[in-house]
Amino acid sequence: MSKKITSLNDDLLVEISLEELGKKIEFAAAPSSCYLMDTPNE
Amino acid sequence: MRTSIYNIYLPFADSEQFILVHGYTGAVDLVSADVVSFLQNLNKDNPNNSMDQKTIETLIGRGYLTEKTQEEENQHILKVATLLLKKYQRVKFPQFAIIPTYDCNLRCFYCYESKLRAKGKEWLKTRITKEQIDVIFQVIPGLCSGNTNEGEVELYGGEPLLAESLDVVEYIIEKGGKLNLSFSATTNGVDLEYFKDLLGDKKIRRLQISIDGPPRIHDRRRFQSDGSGTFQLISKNINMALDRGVKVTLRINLDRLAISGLSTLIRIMEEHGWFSQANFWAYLSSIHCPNKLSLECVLRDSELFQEFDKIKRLVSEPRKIFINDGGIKKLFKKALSNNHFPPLRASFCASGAGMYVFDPFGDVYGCWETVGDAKQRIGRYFPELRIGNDFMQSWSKINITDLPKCQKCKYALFCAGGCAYRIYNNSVSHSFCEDFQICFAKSIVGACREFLQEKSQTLNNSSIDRREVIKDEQKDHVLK
Repeated sequence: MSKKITSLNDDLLVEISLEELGKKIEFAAAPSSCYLMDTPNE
Repeated sequence: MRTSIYNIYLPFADSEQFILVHGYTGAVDLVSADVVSFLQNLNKDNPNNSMDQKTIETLIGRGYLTEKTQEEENQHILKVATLLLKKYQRVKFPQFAIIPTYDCNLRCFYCYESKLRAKGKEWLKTRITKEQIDVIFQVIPGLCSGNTNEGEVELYGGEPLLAESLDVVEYIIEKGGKLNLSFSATTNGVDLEYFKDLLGDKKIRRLQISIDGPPRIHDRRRFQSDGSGTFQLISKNINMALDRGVKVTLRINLDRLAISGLSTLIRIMEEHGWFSQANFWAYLSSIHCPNKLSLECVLRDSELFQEFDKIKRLVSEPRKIFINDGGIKKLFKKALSNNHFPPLRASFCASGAGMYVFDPFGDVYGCWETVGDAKQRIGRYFPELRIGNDFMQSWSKINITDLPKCQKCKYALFCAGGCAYRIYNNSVSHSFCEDFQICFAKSIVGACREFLQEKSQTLNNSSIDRREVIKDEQKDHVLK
């Protein structure tokens, strides 16, 4: 890792297969409602 | 090798550093200013633009430098968006809401449902029936891909917690309880006293209550039919709900006229001791109602952020107050803490990812803003469930895969094109994209700052712990 760059996350979607991409996206949350705000630090 | 068109550069702290975010790889990095300068100048004809090999390799690995052409990058965005949309179809527990009635005890001038009053008193006062409620709880399990345990159903309106609706709300909670469901409610809080026995775990465990400012402003906007103000009544009911352990989120509605009362409102909230309560939060949100509110009065989202920066300093527990940023800061911070990629999305909100709002006329809607307009329903649930129609077909197309202009934008998978309702009704504000970028920068920089502070705190604590262990070991050694 370069000293000029500090990575804040290591999980990436660069050049991976569709299957791998699908698995990783399992971590992604579906968008929430625009009107009901999730509390920030629960 | 070229610089990706999906790099987002956000100045951090003293501007000697930047947060670099990549729009489809999900990389988030803290970089020095010369790295940003290198990336921004790479595609220009500049022979002096250079960088060490190790940094270049890292930039390639993170996606900031790419062998892809612009067209290939656009195709990659489409590929990710399509996968995200497929994932939404498997949401374990979609967003469910029940409207017991469209009736309301307040007449807020900016209410987006005010057009429904033209349908007449009888229509407004129609309440959901027990037969309809029975069907709702029969169909909910079939609309989930997981089980319903721990799921939460929203009570919405009109005003869902009207004293006259107590019996139907009781019945809704009784039936939902049999499926292990809990409830939340978006309420004005005026009649909350009548519902005190329905508040708590496994019943209504979460409330969102709206307030428009201190009494001098709030009572002129949110008053009862006899003209009396509601601020004191709502405050008393908030105290009652907090005492019962209900999570209360206060939505502070703001426009350019109400903003002057914000600091007074914060002082009143402090006097009540709300910020020190574990189950209390508040957030700022701007009122959007172009038909009823002159555009000069509407606060732009970027202006709301400026107000938020000012007001946060007045709050004894700054983390208890936040801003309606679509949850971006929270989700980003969570992603960094879990070392995952950030919250990418292909559609703007839950309405594009499975949302079912059941109303007292047997209709199902896919968005809060469309409720009551039968032309914009996505189906019926009574007497039996029939979801899907022409409207739903066109509605479901409002996402990144069908917004070609957005696909070329580096923010595409964070903003997802914006509110589907406004896109569908052709009422997107001209400043939407500019505002999104400003708000995104503030949310992401805030999330990264908090993440780095917490990480540094953890490292300090563990090194203190380690020093204590070494001291103890040294003591033991001396004793031996």
